[in-house]
Amino acid sequence: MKKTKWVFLLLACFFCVEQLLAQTAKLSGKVVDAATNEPLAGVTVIVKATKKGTSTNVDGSFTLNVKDGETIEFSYLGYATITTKATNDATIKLTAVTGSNLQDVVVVGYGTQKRNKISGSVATVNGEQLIRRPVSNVSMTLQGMSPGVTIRQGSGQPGADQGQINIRGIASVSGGNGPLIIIDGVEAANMNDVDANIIENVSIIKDASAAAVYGSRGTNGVILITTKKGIKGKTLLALNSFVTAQTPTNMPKTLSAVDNMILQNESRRALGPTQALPFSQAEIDLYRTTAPNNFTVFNTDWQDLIFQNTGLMQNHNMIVSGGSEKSSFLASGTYLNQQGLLTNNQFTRYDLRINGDINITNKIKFSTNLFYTKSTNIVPAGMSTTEIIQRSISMARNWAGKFEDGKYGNAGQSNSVNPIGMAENSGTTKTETPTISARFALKAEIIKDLFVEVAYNNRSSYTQSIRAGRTYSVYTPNPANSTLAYAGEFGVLDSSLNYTNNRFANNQYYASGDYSFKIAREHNFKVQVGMQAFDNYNESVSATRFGLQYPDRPYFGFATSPTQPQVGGSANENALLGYFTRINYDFKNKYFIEFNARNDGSSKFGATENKQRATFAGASAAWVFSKENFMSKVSVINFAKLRVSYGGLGNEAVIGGNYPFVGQLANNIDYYFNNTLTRGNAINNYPNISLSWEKSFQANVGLDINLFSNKLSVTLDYYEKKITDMLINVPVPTYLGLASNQTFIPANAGRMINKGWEFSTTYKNKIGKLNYSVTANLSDVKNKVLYTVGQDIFHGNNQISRAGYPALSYLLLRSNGLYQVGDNFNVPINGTRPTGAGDIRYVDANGSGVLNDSDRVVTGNNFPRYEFSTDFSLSYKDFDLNIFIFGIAKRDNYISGLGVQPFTAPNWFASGLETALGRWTPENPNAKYPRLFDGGNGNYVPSDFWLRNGAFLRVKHITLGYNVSKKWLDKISIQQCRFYVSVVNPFTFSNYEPGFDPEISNNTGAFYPIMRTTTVGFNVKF
Amino acid sequence: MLNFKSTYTMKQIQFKLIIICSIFVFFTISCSKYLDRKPLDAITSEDFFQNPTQINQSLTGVYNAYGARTVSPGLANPTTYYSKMDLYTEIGLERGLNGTIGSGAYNTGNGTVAEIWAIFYQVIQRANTLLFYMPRAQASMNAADYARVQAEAKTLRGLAYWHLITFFGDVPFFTGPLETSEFYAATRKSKKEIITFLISDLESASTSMPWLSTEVGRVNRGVALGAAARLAMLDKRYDDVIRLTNNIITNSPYGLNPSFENLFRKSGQNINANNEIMFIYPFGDNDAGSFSYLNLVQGSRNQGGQSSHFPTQFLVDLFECRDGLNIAQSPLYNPAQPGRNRDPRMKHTVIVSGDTVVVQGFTSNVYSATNRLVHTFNPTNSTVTLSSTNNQDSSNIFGPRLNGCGNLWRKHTNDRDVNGTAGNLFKVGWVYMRFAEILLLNAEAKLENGSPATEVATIVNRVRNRVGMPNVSAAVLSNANAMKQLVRREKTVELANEGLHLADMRRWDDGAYAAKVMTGLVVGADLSNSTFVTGQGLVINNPAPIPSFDPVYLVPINYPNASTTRLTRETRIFNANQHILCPIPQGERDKANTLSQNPNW
Repeated sequence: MKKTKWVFLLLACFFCVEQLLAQTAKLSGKVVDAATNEPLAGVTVIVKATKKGTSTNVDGSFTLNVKDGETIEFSYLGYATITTKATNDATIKLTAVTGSNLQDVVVVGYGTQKRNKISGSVATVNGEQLIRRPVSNVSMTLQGMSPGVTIRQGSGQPGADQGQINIRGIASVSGGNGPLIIIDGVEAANMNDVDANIIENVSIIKDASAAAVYGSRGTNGVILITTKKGIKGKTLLALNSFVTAQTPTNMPKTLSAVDNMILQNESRRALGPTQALPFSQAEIDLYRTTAPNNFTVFNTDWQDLIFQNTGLMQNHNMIVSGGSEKSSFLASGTYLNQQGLLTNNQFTRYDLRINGDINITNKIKFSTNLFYTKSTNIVPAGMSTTEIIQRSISMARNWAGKFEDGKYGNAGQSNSVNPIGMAENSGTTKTETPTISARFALKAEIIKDLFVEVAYNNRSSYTQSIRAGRTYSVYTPNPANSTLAYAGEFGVLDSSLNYTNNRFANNQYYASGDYSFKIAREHNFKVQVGMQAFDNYNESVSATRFGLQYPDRPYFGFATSPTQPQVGGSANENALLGYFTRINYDFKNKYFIEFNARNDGSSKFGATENKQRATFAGASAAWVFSKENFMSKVSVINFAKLRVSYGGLGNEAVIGGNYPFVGQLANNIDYYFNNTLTRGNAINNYPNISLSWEKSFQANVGLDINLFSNKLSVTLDYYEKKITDMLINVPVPTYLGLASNQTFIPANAGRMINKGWEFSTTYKNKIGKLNYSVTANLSDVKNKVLYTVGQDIFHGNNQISRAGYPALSYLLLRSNGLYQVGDNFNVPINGTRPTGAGDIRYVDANGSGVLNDSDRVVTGNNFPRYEFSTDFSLSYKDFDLNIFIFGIAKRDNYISGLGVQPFTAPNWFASGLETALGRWTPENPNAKYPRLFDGGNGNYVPSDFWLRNGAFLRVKHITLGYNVSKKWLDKISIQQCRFYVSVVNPFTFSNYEPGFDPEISNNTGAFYPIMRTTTVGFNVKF
Repeated sequence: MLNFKSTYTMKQIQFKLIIICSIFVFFTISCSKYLDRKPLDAITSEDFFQNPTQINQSLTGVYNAYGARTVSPGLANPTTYYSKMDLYTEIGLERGLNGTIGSGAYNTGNGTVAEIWAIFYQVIQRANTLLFYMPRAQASMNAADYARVQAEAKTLRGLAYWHLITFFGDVPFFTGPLETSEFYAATRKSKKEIITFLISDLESASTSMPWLSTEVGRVNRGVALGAAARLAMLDKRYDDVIRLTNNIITNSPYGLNPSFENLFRKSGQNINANNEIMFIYPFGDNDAGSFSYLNLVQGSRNQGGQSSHFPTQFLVDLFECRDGLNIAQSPLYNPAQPGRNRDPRMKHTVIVSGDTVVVQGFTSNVYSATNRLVHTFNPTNSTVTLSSTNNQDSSNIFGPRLNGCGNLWRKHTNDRDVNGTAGNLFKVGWVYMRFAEILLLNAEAKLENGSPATEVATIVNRVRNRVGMPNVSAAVLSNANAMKQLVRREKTVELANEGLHLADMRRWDDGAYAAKVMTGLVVGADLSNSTFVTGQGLVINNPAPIPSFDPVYLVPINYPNASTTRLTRETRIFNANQHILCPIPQGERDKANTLSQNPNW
């Protein structure tokens, strides 16, 4: 919040002599904002006694008939109301109250608008709020900042720890669901295009009318990010730095070596009394009585051996800015380095940005935004990080991990892969993406109040991924002669070298004009029309050759294997062209109407049936009823605004490529004629020439109220968003004759509805020197699929979108506890499953007498409900404290695979987790887990038994800052110097599966944990 | 005076709006082609089918769909789906998995059924797409080539429908690309109507193709007529079958290859004596990556096979002895050495106990599914020794003893002993259609149509004599049922493991035959060990009793004490009123509820 003091300037220009003689004078004047000297339009000017009055017009001037000596009141949103005598005094200076944000300028689509004039649903986040959260990516800094904006983190992997953003629920069951992200007027590929340090503010457009100016692709909401600019006459040097230590929030605990042996024997014994057991009693006794020696008796702590990297993250940023009357300039540079938990796992990003503005003449302004980022991501080549971690939590402790001399153990699995070796010594995959983006814009005032802006932006990135593989040896201990016997070579066999290069280019063209005018005295209009064009080009080339001789020199000159080298490549492009208009109207600063419309064309739809273009429009209105006379007696309400909006939006995120309207031919559909290969072709997809835009229609009602001298502000919204012509990959009958992997066609084939509400409140006050504020957000969205052409849309095996249920609901067998001794195990027939006590009792939902896939029922949903967050900020003298709490009150989260099933892994000898100790036994009939049974005995097929309560409350951030005293700083010419310590994810309250993080959805035991971090950092401004 | 700015007139506003609008008109004009984006790295259906090269590529795509495909359960490798078809009949067995089509214990969700449905509709789609679009290139092609491409596509389409009708009876029938409205609304057309359409479609197409394929691997006039004859047979239109096959027999340059064995060996196929092979799925001579995996799914486990296709004992016992009598009647039959004195086609079709499996450069073995150790055979000095090698055919749980009832297929994997085609990598083509089938179609249709037995016997004798089997005996000629069963048996044994028997089995006596032979315990070879006897080879120590033959169908049906004397597998189920057709895949009916289901599914 700016500490700038606002001043009213009241200029009484002159009085009319005739009026004076009549005892009634015509008072004329002008109201301006002292800080900017800009006229204030819409200031209410009334004679206090008579309540008669007027308001200032667009240039801030007014006239009013007054009697001599009458008191006049000037009131304006966000400024303190003042009263003064109508005298000849030319200037009255008054101080306004602080604490209101109503005069903040909010970035809206292709322009700005003052907060108080906004009639749609737009949330804003200040850049200062974002850098209080020392995380590596911008998306996670936004979590919980605004109700209705759901941000879910699925991974803590460096470079892949972005949150998935949904604004007001899921808008499409299989198309794109992410919001449109605009950075400085340019559509960004993702949020990584911007560094948090340089963000001035973020606007989140949630409703249809405000987003309609982005028409075609605003259906999932729009996030507008504005970066900082140089300020006239101020030279600034700012340094922001932090260093963070990362540890996993939660990791499952593996059974001890002895427990693993005992329980595995138990699971095998369940097959029958004559079964050979995996571990002899002698072996178990040896493990019980002998301390681990890492040669004959093991207690391998796989997690510890694998998590050998520091997990340190550091982020350093410098911003330089300055400006004169003619030009301003800002440059920012950021270095981020994030070490993973594993060896050979890190992410680095350099981020440079230059924003410049030059006033070529008084009427023509040039601005440019240039940025360059380079991200480098390194992961082990032999195995994905999630699989290495999966093995770290599931491999049995009684196998050899790493010997004293650094040799890797033959970990005993069927293929003897040692995950420590995979992390440390299978080579690396290094993916480097330099991105450069440049924007040039000219804005000219052609005639007064008519502005025209044209802009061009190019963004190019070039991803090069180099996978240079190598192998490592594993050894088996031979107790007879106390040596290690070589047992084989693992890692990336044949030492393959692979290059994958991806070139991506995006052009954006923009032109718009806006014109402000008024009709009669108090009808203010602003009209904007514009066009935007957008094209993408994407090209990739890959090459692989085996036999890399020197893994540290990943160049093809060293990969010489005669085995057939492989090359491949592809390219595609798409384009969008849209025209938009916006009309703003306001009357007396009390009534606001906005109309937005956009016509968009997309190259992803067919031209033959004119399916490329669609028009989307929205309108909104707001009524500041606190300015009505009847509200003047309600003094606790400083401001109250009712908003309504309705509008249509589109989505063109077709699944399956850029050309669904045309049948594409697959090559290499070959055949041997005369015993010689003959090239053939065949259609690979069924084109859908009538495919067109997905549409959504959203109605929104909102209320903004400021109370108690603006100390308390409340925002409430209710909305309904109906999606029609939803883009779905619809299953098609195979009699269409497509390739077996093409059993879907994209079609406008669904309808869905989201209903939700959002509540946000902030209370700010101070007690002596203690300033504090509390913000609470609460929101909910309910989704229901209405129609999917009668087809169930599957998302993997267990999730389904079916009419009448929320999208992506779970489709699972229903369970009814565990069978107990003496139960009738044969009802219903479980196929060939030898059901016994301790097995899950499934429900024959369709009553057929047989249990199979058709007994699965739609049950539960992973999408968060009742999302809440609370932010406490305190400042006392030079200290500031921020606590941010985030949570979800209702959510189902399915857990499967190694997360629940002990002793079973695709190709290694798995242990169980400590939860296996809670399995059913005759002595533990009320167990949380089924009995142990080698092979699982059907207990781990997808059922609601493994659906967990994913609700949680998490203390996300605690930050304590100290601002070095001004009196000391002034001596060394430093404006501001703040040191802080911060913890992220320090506490979590949840009933979720032990060892697993409730923020990660549908955990299969293969995941990269979310991090708990501790940070120290500073912000300095010179 | 007052210093207020006057408000704008409407005229001024309009003027300014015109300026703004004109700016955007400029942009619009410059961007008129902006949204015209077509695939960059793929040819589209819009710019394809424009010239002879593209038309031929598209036709190749149809062959591809018809050719190298696998029906699961099985291995993802190039084995033609034809090799699976006989495994759903009384003469073949798949590796024992739950719910195979052959077992009868399967349901409407069966994956193999769905896959068979899908692959033949893929053939149809590709053919229809080509036929629909090819007029674009008509002007640029010579008329004869154009007509030939059309005819080849129609022939492959006709064969695909023959399979579909065999499996499913009435099916959705398409002759062009589907309209969007048909995506979920297909209905089944009666097989009679489809067959009527296709017979004339194929007959007229046939005239655009030469009798001999322009290239090995292509269909030709005979294949079109043969496909029409197969379709006519499905609907018992014997007049049509006779007319179509007579046309081939009378006018074509096809004949019988004097060597039955050579039909299923690479060298023999290359020569194709007397043009007996009419249509074949070929592999690339010079392409190391082109080979059949059939030996992998059919071969002995001692030589790298992963046996999952097996013949049944029913088929083994169906082969006559050299004297033209069946094994229950013939004095030449010795149950201790079942491979001796038999119809010569037997040893080129199946491998039974005592047969040798030879691969040059590899250890050859004397096949036994029961002995624990392998008898090895030295082809150079013709000696047999008992090696200490564990016999995988005996011990592997998926091997012939524990899974396959004791016998192996030889047909189509006979080339194991050709030098240079080591291991599983060999290039014997799959024979889709050959002249012997045409003769036997002709014979069966004539017999059903009431032609004299002697006339029919003349045709059948051509096929029998080629392998050295005697003419149809006088006793059979004089017994109408015996003659009928002989023709059927001749078709079964001559064409075994060529993917043609399923249609016959389901057609004969409207399911009564199938119900008789498909029901009950699947029995196999003798459970007994064998001993090597010098000069005789392997001799089974305690042969199981000889089966007795069904009095009507004259097939081996009753195996005394089978459960104690023979290898056995599941008890097969076959309800004539249900299993005569496969179910329409449930997945298809879930998507298109306009599709009816076959009876009792």
